Amino acid sequence: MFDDSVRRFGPLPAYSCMGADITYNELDRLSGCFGAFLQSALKLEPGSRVALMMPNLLQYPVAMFRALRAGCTVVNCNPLYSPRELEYQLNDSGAEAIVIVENFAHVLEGVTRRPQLRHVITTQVGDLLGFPKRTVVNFAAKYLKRMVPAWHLPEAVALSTVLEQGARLPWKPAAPNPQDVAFLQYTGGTTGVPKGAMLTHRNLVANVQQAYAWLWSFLEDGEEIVVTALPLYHIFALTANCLVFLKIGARNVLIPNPRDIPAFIKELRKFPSPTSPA
Amino acid sequence: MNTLFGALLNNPDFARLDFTQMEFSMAGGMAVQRSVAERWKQLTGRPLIEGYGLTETSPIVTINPLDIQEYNGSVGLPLPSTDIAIRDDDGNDLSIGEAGELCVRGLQVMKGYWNRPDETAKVTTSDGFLRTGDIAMVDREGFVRIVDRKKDMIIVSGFKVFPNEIEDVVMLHPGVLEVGAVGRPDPKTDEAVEIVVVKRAPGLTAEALIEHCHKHLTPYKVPKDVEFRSELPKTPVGKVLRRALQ
Repeated sequence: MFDDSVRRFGPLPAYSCMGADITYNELDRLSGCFGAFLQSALKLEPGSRVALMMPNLLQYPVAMFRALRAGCTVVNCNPLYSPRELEYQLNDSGAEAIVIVENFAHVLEGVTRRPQLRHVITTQVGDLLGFPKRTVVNFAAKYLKRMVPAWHLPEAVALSTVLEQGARLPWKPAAPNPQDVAFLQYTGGTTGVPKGAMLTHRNLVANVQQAYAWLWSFLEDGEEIVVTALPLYHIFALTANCLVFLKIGARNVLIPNPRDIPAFIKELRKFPSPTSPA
Repeated sequence: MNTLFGALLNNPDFARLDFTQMEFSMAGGMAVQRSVAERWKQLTGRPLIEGYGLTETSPIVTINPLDIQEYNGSVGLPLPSTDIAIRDDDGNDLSIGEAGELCVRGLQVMKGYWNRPDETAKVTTSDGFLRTGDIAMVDREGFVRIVDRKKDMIIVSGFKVFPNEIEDVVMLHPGVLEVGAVGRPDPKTDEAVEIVVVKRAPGLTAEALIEHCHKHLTPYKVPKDVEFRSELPKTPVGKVLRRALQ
Protein backbone atom coordinates (compact mmCIF):
# COMPACT_ATOMS: atom_id res chain seq x y z
CA MET A 1 0.00 0.00 0.00
CA PHE A 2 2.86 2.35 0.90
CA ASP A 3 4.73 1.61 -2.35
CA ASP A 4 1.55 2.03 -4.30
CA SER A 5 0.95 5.52 -2.87
CA VAL A 6 4.57 6.57 -3.46
CA ARG A 7 4.29 5.43 -7.08
CA ARG A 8 0.98 7.17 -7.71
CA PHE A 9 1.46 10.38 -5.75
CA GLY A 10 5.28 10.79 -5.59
CA PRO A 11 5.69 14.57 -6.05
CA LEU A 12 2.60 15.54 -4.01
CA PRO A 13 2.91 16.68 -0.40
CA ALA A 14 2.28 13.78 1.98
CA TYR A 15 2.74 15.45 5.35
CA SER A 16 2.84 19.07 6.47
CA CYS A 17 3.93 20.23 9.87
CA MET A 18 4.78 23.69 11.19
CA GLY A 19 4.82 25.11 7.68
CA ALA A 20 7.11 22.47 6.11
CA ASP A 21 6.09 19.70 3.70
CA ILE A 22 7.51 16.35 2.76
CA THR A 23 6.37 14.70 -0.45
CA TYR A 24 5.58 11.03 -0.94
CA ASN A 25 8.95 10.63 -2.68
CA GLU A 26 10.83 12.25 0.21
CA LEU A 27 8.94 10.12 2.69
CA ASP A 28 10.09 7.08 0.73
CA ARG A 29 13.72 8.25 0.58
CA LEU A 30 14.03 9.40 4.22
CA SER A 31 12.33 6.39 5.68
CA GLY A 32 14.53 4.23 3.42
CA CYS A 33 17.62 5.74 5.06
CA PHE A 34 16.12 5.05 8.44
CA GLY A 35 15.22 1.48 7.51
CA ALA A 36 18.72 0.84 6.15
CA PHE A 37 20.17 2.00 9.45
CA LEU A 38 17.88 -0.31 11.43
CA GLN A 39 18.82 -3.24 9.22
CA SER A 40 22.51 -2.72 8.54
CA ALA A 41 23.85 -0.70 11.47
CA LEU A 42 21.62 -1.91 14.30
CA LYS A 43 21.16 -5.41 12.84
CA LEU A 44 17.51 -5.51 13.83
CA GLU A 45 15.85 -8.70 12.65
CA PRO A 46 12.32 -8.77 11.24
CA GLY A 47 9.92 -9.04 14.16
CA SER A 48 12.08 -6.88 16.46
CA ARG A 49 10.10 -4.29 18.35
CA VAL A 50 10.87 -0.61 17.76
CA ALA A 51 9.30 1.92 20.14
CA LEU A 52 8.29 5.41 18.97
CA MET A 53 7.77 8.19 21.48
CA MET A 54 6.85 11.52 19.93
CA PRO A 55 3.91 13.82 19.15
CA ASN A 56 2.67 14.47 15.60
CA LEU A 57 5.85 15.50 13.79
CA LEU A 58 7.20 14.72 10.31
CA GLN A 59 9.60 12.28 11.98
CA TYR A 60 6.69 10.11 13.02
CA PRO A 61 5.62 8.79 9.60
CA VAL A 62 9.27 8.58 8.50
CA ALA A 63 10.21 6.36 11.43
CA MET A 64 7.01 4.36 11.40
CA PHE A 65 6.88 3.41 7.72
CA ARG A 66 10.40 2.16 7.50
CA ALA A 67 10.34 0.32 10.79
CA LEU A 68 7.34 -1.47 9.31
CA ARG A 69 9.00 -2.04 5.96
CA ALA A 70 12.13 -3.36 7.63
CA GLY A 71 9.77 -5.99 9.06
CA CYS A 72 9.86 -4.58 12.58
CA THR A 73 6.90 -4.24 14.92
CA VAL A 74 6.12 -0.67 16.02
CA VAL A 75 5.36 -0.04 19.69
CA ASN A 76 3.67 3.35 20.08
CA CYS A 77 4.43 5.18 23.32
CA ASN A 78 2.56 8.15 24.68
CA PRO A 79 5.08 11.00 25.05
CA LEU A 80 3.46 11.98 28.34
CA TYR A 81 4.22 8.64 30.00
CA SER A 82 5.93 8.69 33.37
CA PRO A 83 9.19 6.71 33.65
CA ARG A 84 7.27 3.92 35.42
CA GLU A 85 4.71 3.59 32.61
CA LEU A 86 7.40 3.71 29.94
CA GLU A 87 9.47 1.09 31.75
CA TYR A 88 6.51 -1.27 31.86
CA GLN A 89 5.78 -0.86 28.17
CA LEU A 90 9.40 -1.16 27.01
CA ASN A 91 9.99 -4.30 29.02
CA ASP A 92 6.64 -5.91 28.32
CA SER A 93 7.06 -5.40 24.57
CA GLY A 94 10.76 -6.28 24.62
CA ALA A 95 11.56 -3.25 22.46
CA GLU A 96 15.18 -3.27 21.22
CA ALA A 97 15.21 0.28 19.90
CA ILE A 98 13.39 3.52 20.61
CA VAL A 99 13.04 6.70 18.57
CA ILE A 100 12.31 9.52 20.99
CA VAL A 101 11.93 13.27 20.69
CA GLU A 102 14.51 15.04 22.89
CA ASN A 103 11.82 16.82 24.90
CA PHE A 104 11.01 13.49 26.55
CA ALA A 105 14.50 11.95 26.68
CA HIS A 106 14.71 12.70 30.41
CA VAL A 107 11.75 10.33 30.94
CA LEU A 108 13.70 7.51 29.29
CA GLU A 109 16.72 8.41 31.39
CA GLY A 110 14.48 7.88 34.43
CA VAL A 111 13.82 4.28 33.34
CA THR A 112 16.54 2.41 35.18
CA ARG A 113 15.63 -1.15 34.29
CA ARG A 114 15.48 -1.74 30.55
CA PRO A 115 17.58 -4.82 29.81
CA GLN A 116 16.35 -5.38 26.25
CA LEU A 117 16.56 -1.85 24.93
CA ARG A 118 19.86 -1.60 23.05
CA HIS A 119 19.46 1.43 20.81
CA VAL A 120 18.25 4.95 21.44
CA ILE A 121 17.68 7.35 18.55
CA THR A 122 16.86 10.93 19.52
CA THR A 123 15.33 13.64 17.38
CA GLN A 124 14.68 17.34 17.89
CA VAL A 125 11.27 18.85 17.19
CA GLY A 126 12.50 20.82 14.17
CA ASP A 127 14.45 18.01 12.44
CA LEU A 128 13.15 17.51 8.88
CA LEU A 129 11.73 21.05 8.67
CA GLY A 130 14.61 22.02 6.34
CA PHE A 131 17.12 24.84 6.73
CA PRO A 132 16.83 27.49 8.21
CA LYS A 133 13.57 26.58 9.92
CA ARG A 134 15.05 23.49 11.49
CA THR A 135 17.75 25.44 13.31
CA VAL A 136 15.37 28.17 14.43
CA VAL A 137 12.74 25.77 15.77
CA ASN A 138 15.27 23.55 17.53
CA PHE A 139 16.98 26.54 19.10
CA ALA A 140 13.67 28.06 20.21
CA ALA A 141 12.42 24.79 21.70
CA LYS A 142 15.61 24.24 23.63
CA TYR A 143 16.68 27.69 24.78
CA LEU A 144 13.76 30.10 24.45
CA LYS A 145 10.76 28.01 25.40
CA ARG A 146 12.83 25.65 27.57
CA MET A 147 10.81 22.67 26.35
CA VAL A 148 13.75 20.27 26.56
CA PRO A 149 14.69 19.27 30.11
CA ALA A 150 18.34 18.25 30.51
CA TRP A 151 19.02 14.59 29.75
CA HIS A 152 21.95 12.27 29.49
CA LEU A 153 21.81 8.99 27.57
CA PRO A 154 25.31 7.84 26.58
CA GLU A 155 24.05 5.36 23.97
CA ALA A 156 21.89 7.91 22.12
CA VAL A 157 22.37 8.52 18.39
CA ALA A 158 20.82 11.56 16.70
CA LEU A 159 18.26 10.98 13.96
CA SER A 160 20.22 13.27 11.64
CA THR A 161 23.23 10.93 11.99
CA VAL A 162 20.99 7.94 11.39
CA LEU A 163 19.61 9.42 8.17
CA GLU A 164 23.07 10.48 6.97
CA GLN A 165 24.64 7.08 7.59
CA GLY A 166 21.54 5.26 6.43
CA ALA A 167 21.78 7.00 3.05
CA ARG A 168 25.06 5.18 2.43
CA LEU A 169 23.98 1.78 3.73
CA PRO A 170 22.48 -1.03 1.66
CA TRP A 171 18.75 -1.51 2.07
CA LYS A 172 16.73 -4.58 1.42
CA PRO A 173 13.01 -4.07 1.98
CA ALA A 174 11.58 -6.94 3.99
CA ALA A 175 8.34 -8.37 2.71
CA PRO A 176 6.22 -8.71 5.84
CA ASN A 177 3.58 -11.44 5.74
CA PRO A 178 -0.02 -10.36 6.26
CA GLN A 179 -0.13 -12.19 9.59
CA ASP A 180 3.04 -10.51 10.93
CA VAL A 181 2.46 -8.09 13.77
CA ALA A 182 2.75 -4.48 12.57
CA PHE A 183 1.87 -2.77 15.85
CA LEU A 184 1.86 -3.68 19.50
CA GLN A 185 -0.73 -1.15 20.54
CA TYR A 186 -1.03 -0.81 24.30
CA THR A 187 -4.44 -0.53 25.89
CA GLY A 188 -6.12 -1.13 29.23
CA GLY A 189 -8.80 -3.10 27.36
CA THR A 190 -11.80 -4.15 29.40
CA THR A 191 -9.85 -5.33 32.42
CA GLY A 192 -7.57 -2.34 32.97
CA VAL A 193 -4.32 -4.35 32.88
CA PRO A 194 -2.12 -2.63 30.26
CA LYS A 195 -1.34 -5.03 27.43
CA GLY A 196 -0.22 -4.92 23.81
CA ALA A 197 -2.89 -5.66 21.23
CA MET A 198 -1.18 -7.48 18.33
CA LEU A 199 -2.38 -5.71 15.19
CA THR A 200 -1.17 -7.44 12.06
CA HIS A 201 -0.46 -5.97 8.63
CA ARG A 202 -3.64 -7.71 7.50
CA ASN A 203 -5.69 -6.09 10.30
CA LEU A 204 -4.53 -2.60 9.36
CA VAL A 205 -4.86 -3.02 5.59
CA ALA A 206 -8.32 -4.55 6.10
CA ASN A 207 -9.47 -1.63 8.23
CA VAL A 208 -8.12 0.89 5.71
CA GLN A 209 -9.97 -0.90 2.88
CA GLN A 210 -13.15 -1.09 4.94
CA ALA A 211 -13.00 2.61 5.75
CA TYR A 212 -12.13 3.42 2.12
CA ALA A 213 -15.17 1.50 0.91
CA TRP A 214 -17.23 3.81 3.12
CA LEU A 215 -15.56 7.06 2.12
CA TRP A 216 -14.40 6.72 -1.48
CA SER A 217 -17.31 8.41 -3.19
CA PHE A 218 -16.64 11.55 -1.12
CA LEU A 219 -12.90 11.70 -1.76
CA GLU A 220 -10.75 12.68 -4.72
CA ASP A 221 -7.39 10.90 -5.07
CA GLY A 222 -4.47 13.29 -4.70
CA GLU A 223 -6.74 16.27 -3.93
CA GLU A 224 -7.61 16.04 -0.26
CA ILE A 225 -6.30 17.72 2.87
CA VAL A 226 -6.75 16.07 6.25
CA VAL A 227 -5.96 17.74 9.54
CA THR A 228 -4.52 15.37 12.15
CA ALA A 229 -4.92 16.82 15.62
CA LEU A 230 -5.29 13.54 17.48
CA PRO A 231 -1.99 11.87 18.34
CA LEU A 232 -0.70 9.35 15.80
CA TYR A 233 0.45 7.05 18.58
CA HIS A 234 -3.27 6.48 19.18
CA ILE A 235 -4.92 3.89 16.94
CA PHE A 236 -7.75 6.13 15.71
CA ALA A 237 -5.55 8.77 14.09
CA LEU A 238 -3.06 6.14 13.00
CA THR A 239 -5.60 4.31 10.84
CA ALA A 240 -8.21 6.95 10.10
CA ASN A 241 -5.83 9.82 9.32
CA CYS A 242 -2.37 8.46 8.64
CA LEU A 243 -3.17 5.30 6.68
CA VAL A 244 -6.53 5.96 5.00
CA PHE A 245 -5.37 9.31 3.67
CA LEU A 246 -1.98 7.93 2.63
CA LYS A 247 -3.86 5.52 0.43
CA ILE A 248 -5.61 8.34 -1.43
CA GLY A 249 -2.56 10.61 -1.72
CA ALA A 250 -3.87 13.33 0.59
CA ARG A 251 -1.86 16.06 2.27
CA ASN A 252 -1.83 15.32 5.97
CA VAL A 253 -1.43 18.37 8.20
CA LEU A 254 0.11 17.25 11.49
CA ILE A 255 -0.73 19.26 14.61
CA PRO A 256 1.95 18.59 17.26
CA ASN A 257 0.07 20.16 20.16
CA PRO A 258 -3.71 20.47 19.74
CA ARG A 259 -4.04 21.62 23.35
CA ASP A 260 -2.64 24.93 22.15
CA ILE A 261 -5.97 25.90 20.62
CA PRO A 262 -4.98 29.36 19.26
CA ALA A 263 -1.97 27.85 17.40
CA PHE A 264 -4.17 25.04 16.11
CA ILE A 265 -6.69 27.51 14.71
CA LYS A 266 -3.89 29.49 13.08
CA GLU A 267 -2.80 26.29 11.34
CA LEU A 268 -6.37 25.58 10.19
CA ARG A 269 -6.52 29.04 8.64
CA LYS A 270 -3.55 28.20 6.39
CA PHE A 271 -5.42 25.28 4.86
CA PRO A 272 -8.85 26.60 3.98
CA SER A 273 -10.42 23.38 2.78
CA PRO A 274 -9.77 20.48 5.10
CA THR A 275 -11.65 17.29 4.39
CA SER A 276 -11.80 16.30 7.97
CA PRO A 277 -10.31 17.78 11.07
CA ALA A 278 -10.38 14.41 12.77
CA MET B 1 -12.37 13.98 20.28
CA ASN B 2 -15.45 15.31 21.96
CA THR B 3 -13.12 17.33 24.18
CA LEU B 4 -11.16 18.64 21.20
CA PHE B 5 -14.25 19.64 19.20
CA GLY B 6 -15.62 21.19 22.38
CA ALA B 7 -12.43 23.20 22.92
CA LEU B 8 -12.48 24.45 19.33
CA LEU B 9 -16.10 25.53 19.65
CA ASN B 10 -15.25 27.43 22.83
CA ASN B 11 -12.71 29.59 20.99
CA PRO B 12 -14.12 32.71 19.31
CA ASP B 13 -11.49 32.67 16.52
CA PHE B 14 -12.63 29.22 15.43
CA ALA B 15 -16.07 30.61 14.63
CA ARG B 16 -14.50 33.02 12.14
CA LEU B 17 -12.94 30.29 9.96
CA ASP B 18 -14.41 29.47 6.56
CA PHE B 19 -16.05 26.04 6.51
CA THR B 20 -17.60 26.11 3.04
CA GLN B 21 -14.99 23.71 1.61
CA MET B 22 -15.06 21.26 4.49
CA GLU B 23 -16.51 17.96 3.37
CA PHE B 24 -16.89 16.14 6.66
CA SER B 25 -15.63 15.95 10.23
CA MET B 26 -15.24 12.64 11.87
CA ALA B 27 -15.31 11.82 15.53
CA GLY B 28 -14.34 8.63 17.25
CA GLY B 29 -12.41 7.41 20.24
CA MET B 30 -15.01 8.62 22.71
CA ALA B 31 -18.68 9.40 22.96
CA VAL B 32 -19.77 12.68 21.40
CA GLN B 33 -22.08 14.72 23.59
CA ARG B 34 -25.26 15.93 21.96
CA SER B 35 -24.53 19.54 22.92
CA VAL B 36 -21.14 19.44 21.16
CA ALA B 37 -22.60 17.79 18.05
CA GLU B 38 -25.38 20.36 17.79
CA ARG B 39 -23.09 23.36 18.22
CA TRP B 40 -20.70 21.88 15.63
CA LYS B 41 -23.49 21.63 13.07
CA GLN B 42 -24.71 25.13 13.86
CA LEU B 43 -21.27 26.66 13.41
CA THR B 44 -19.84 24.69 10.48
CA GLY B 45 -23.05 23.75 8.69
CA ARG B 46 -21.93 20.11 8.61
CA PRO B 47 -22.91 17.36 10.99
CA LEU B 48 -20.24 15.62 13.02
CA ILE B 49 -19.89 12.05 11.73
CA GLU B 50 -19.55 9.73 14.67
CA GLY B 51 -18.05 6.27 14.50
CA TYR B 52 -16.99 3.59 16.94
CA GLY B 53 -13.95 1.48 17.39
CA LEU B 54 -11.34 0.23 19.80
CA THR B 55 -7.66 -0.55 19.80
CA GLU B 56 -8.35 -4.27 19.44
CA THR B 57 -10.16 -3.69 16.12
CA SER B 58 -7.53 -1.55 14.35
CA PRO B 59 -9.82 0.45 15.31
CA ILE B 60 -12.95 1.12 13.19
CA VAL B 61 -16.04 -1.06 13.67
CA THR B 62 -18.98 1.21 12.80
CA ILE B 63 -19.42 4.61 11.22
CA ASN B 64 -22.32 6.83 10.23
CA PRO B 65 -23.14 7.42 6.57
CA LEU B 66 -21.37 10.62 5.48
CA ASP B 67 -24.52 12.13 4.03
CA ILE B 68 -26.58 12.26 7.22
CA GLN B 69 -28.05 15.71 7.69
CA GLU B 70 -28.39 15.72 11.45
CA TYR B 71 -26.57 14.19 14.39
CA ASN B 72 -28.50 11.02 15.17
CA GLY B 73 -26.93 9.98 18.45
CA SER B 74 -25.75 6.67 16.99
CA VAL B 75 -22.28 5.45 16.02
CA GLY B 76 -23.63 4.32 12.65
CA LEU B 77 -23.56 1.01 10.80
CA PRO B 78 -20.95 -1.78 10.80
CA LEU B 79 -18.23 -1.43 8.13
CA PRO B 80 -18.20 -3.91 5.21
CA SER B 81 -17.03 -7.43 6.19
CA THR B 82 -17.75 -6.74 9.84
CA ASP B 83 -20.18 -8.85 11.92
CA ILE B 84 -21.63 -7.52 15.15
CA ALA B 85 -23.72 -9.15 17.85
CA ILE B 86 -25.37 -7.83 21.02
CA ARG B 87 -25.15 -10.42 23.78
CA ASP B 88 -26.16 -10.83 27.40
CA ASP B 89 -23.78 -11.87 30.19
CA ASP B 90 -24.34 -15.55 29.34
CA GLY B 91 -23.44 -15.06 25.69
CA ASN B 92 -27.00 -15.24 24.29
CA ASP B 93 -27.85 -13.04 21.33
CA LEU B 94 -30.28 -10.22 22.18
CA SER B 95 -32.81 -8.64 19.84
CA ILE B 96 -33.32 -5.22 18.31
CA GLY B 97 -33.63 -2.50 20.95
CA GLU B 98 -32.16 -4.57 23.80
CA ALA B 99 -28.99 -3.39 25.51
CA GLY B 100 -26.12 -5.86 25.89
CA GLU B 101 -22.41 -6.28 25.25
CA LEU B 102 -21.31 -5.38 21.74
CA CYS B 103 -19.26 -8.19 20.13
CA VAL B 104 -17.32 -7.86 16.86
CA ARG B 105 -15.96 -10.26 14.26
CA GLY B 106 -14.01 -9.24 11.16
CA LEU B 107 -10.64 -8.92 9.44
CA GLN B 108 -9.75 -5.92 11.58
CA VAL B 109 -9.95 -7.84 14.87
CA MET B 110 -6.51 -8.28 16.49
CA LYS B 111 -4.54 -11.50 16.63
CA GLY B 112 -4.64 -11.39 20.45
CA TYR B 113 -2.78 -9.73 23.31
CA TRP B 114 1.03 -9.99 23.31
CA ASN B 115 2.16 -12.75 25.71
CA ARG B 116 -1.25 -12.71 27.45
CA PRO B 117 -3.26 -15.75 26.34
CA ASP B 118 -5.32 -15.45 29.54
CA GLU B 119 -6.40 -11.88 28.69
CA THR B 120 -7.02 -12.87 25.06
CA ALA B 121 -9.25 -15.75 26.19
CA LYS B 122 -11.31 -13.40 28.37
CA VAL B 123 -12.33 -11.26 25.39
CA THR B 124 -12.77 -13.98 22.75
CA THR B 125 -15.97 -16.00 22.28
CA SER B 126 -16.03 -19.59 21.04
CA ASP B 127 -17.45 -18.42 17.70
CA GLY B 128 -14.64 -15.94 17.11
CA PHE B 129 -16.17 -12.66 18.29
CA LEU B 130 -14.28 -10.07 20.30
CA ARG B 131 -16.13 -8.91 23.41
CA THR B 132 -15.73 -5.13 23.50
CA GLY B 133 -16.85 -4.44 27.07
CA ASP B 134 -19.19 -1.78 25.71
CA ILE B 135 -22.93 -1.87 26.26
CA ALA B 136 -24.84 -1.12 23.06
CA MET B 137 -28.14 -1.63 21.28
CA VAL B 138 -29.14 -1.84 17.63
CA ASP B 139 -32.23 -0.01 16.39
CA ARG B 140 -34.68 -1.08 13.69
CA GLU B 141 -32.65 0.52 10.91
CA GLY B 142 -29.52 -1.29 12.05
CA PHE B 143 -27.85 1.75 13.61
CA VAL B 144 -25.75 1.02 16.69
CA ARG B 145 -26.08 3.07 19.85
CA ILE B 146 -23.40 2.85 22.49
CA VAL B 147 -24.90 3.07 25.92
CA ASP B 148 -21.69 3.06 27.96
CA ARG B 149 -18.64 1.17 29.11
CA LYS B 150 -19.65 -1.94 31.02
CA LYS B 151 -17.13 -1.24 33.75
CA ASP B 152 -18.23 2.40 34.26
CA MET B 153 -21.82 1.39 34.94
CA ILE B 154 -23.15 2.70 38.26
CA ILE B 155 -25.66 0.54 40.15
CA VAL B 156 -28.11 2.61 42.20
CA SER B 157 -30.45 0.41 44.28
CA GLY B 158 -30.08 -2.30 41.65
CA PHE B 159 -30.82 0.04 38.75
CA LYS B 160 -28.20 0.50 36.07
CA VAL B 161 -27.07 4.08 35.53
CA PHE B 162 -24.77 4.92 32.64
CA PRO B 163 -22.44 7.89 33.20
CA ASN B 164 -22.67 8.95 29.53
CA GLU B 165 -26.36 9.68 29.92
CA ILE B 166 -25.81 11.78 33.04
CA GLU B 167 -22.91 13.69 31.46
CA ASP B 168 -24.97 14.35 28.35
CA VAL B 169 -27.76 15.88 30.43
CA VAL B 170 -25.41 17.96 32.60
CA MET B 171 -23.69 19.31 29.46
CA LEU B 172 -27.02 20.67 28.24
CA HIS B 173 -26.76 23.25 31.04
CA PRO B 174 -25.16 26.35 29.51
CA GLY B 175 -23.12 27.04 32.65
CA VAL B 176 -21.13 23.80 32.33
CA LEU B 177 -17.82 23.50 30.48
CA GLU B 178 -16.95 19.87 31.22
CA VAL B 179 -18.29 17.07 33.38
CA GLY B 180 -17.51 13.54 34.52
CA ALA B 181 -20.04 11.28 36.28
CA VAL B 182 -18.94 8.50 38.63
CA GLY B 183 -20.41 6.21 41.26
CA ARG B 184 -19.60 6.62 44.93
CA PRO B 185 -20.50 4.27 47.77
CA ASP B 186 -23.81 5.08 49.42
CA PRO B 187 -25.13 3.44 52.62
CA LYS B 188 -28.73 3.35 51.38
CA THR B 189 -28.48 2.70 47.66
CA ASP B 190 -25.09 0.86 47.40
CA GLU B 191 -23.91 3.44 44.91
CA ALA B 192 -24.97 6.99 44.14
CA VAL B 193 -24.17 9.27 41.22
CA GLU B 194 -21.63 12.01 41.76
CA ILE B 195 -20.69 14.60 39.16
CA VAL B 196 -17.43 16.50 38.92
CA VAL B 197 -17.91 19.73 37.00
CA VAL B 198 -15.78 22.45 35.44
CA LYS B 199 -17.79 25.67 35.31
CA ARG B 200 -18.26 27.85 32.25
CA ALA B 201 -20.37 30.37 34.19
CA PRO B 202 -18.66 31.37 37.45
CA GLY B 203 -22.00 31.80 39.23
CA LEU B 204 -23.12 28.19 38.64
CA THR B 205 -24.33 26.43 41.81
CA ALA B 206 -24.74 22.78 42.76
CA GLU B 207 -28.43 23.35 43.49
CA ALA B 208 -29.06 24.75 40.01
CA LEU B 209 -27.40 21.68 38.45
CA ILE B 210 -29.35 19.22 40.53
CA GLU B 211 -32.58 20.99 39.65
CA HIS B 212 -31.58 20.85 35.98
CA CYS B 213 -30.95 17.09 36.27
CA HIS B 214 -34.34 16.55 37.95
CA LYS B 215 -35.99 18.01 34.86
CA HIS B 216 -34.33 15.50 32.52
CA LEU B 217 -33.71 12.34 34.56
CA THR B 218 -35.62 9.83 36.65
CA PRO B 219 -34.89 10.40 40.36
CA TYR B 220 -32.43 7.51 40.91
CA LYS B 221 -30.20 8.88 38.15
CA VAL B 222 -30.02 12.39 39.58
CA PRO B 223 -26.60 13.15 41.10
CA LYS B 224 -26.42 13.22 44.89
CA ASP B 225 -23.21 15.25 44.96
CA VAL B 226 -21.67 17.94 42.82
CA GLU B 227 -18.01 18.76 43.05
CA PHE B 228 -16.48 21.72 41.22
CA ARG B 229 -12.92 21.60 39.92
CA SER B 230 -10.81 23.81 37.69
CA GLU B 231 -10.00 20.92 35.32
CA LEU B 232 -10.65 17.20 34.83
CA PRO B 233 -8.05 14.44 34.41
CA LYS B 234 -8.01 13.18 30.81
CA THR B 235 -6.46 10.53 28.59
CA PRO B 236 -4.22 11.56 25.64
CA VAL B 237 -7.25 11.72 23.32
CA GLY B 238 -9.13 13.88 25.79
CA LYS B 239 -11.50 11.35 27.33
CA VAL B 240 -12.37 12.24 30.90
CA LEU B 241 -10.66 9.67 33.10
CA ARG B 242 -13.56 8.58 35.27
CA ARG B 243 -11.38 6.23 37.29
CA ALA B 244 -9.18 9.14 38.34
CA LEU B 245 -12.24 11.11 39.48
CA GLN B 246 -13.32 8.54 42.02
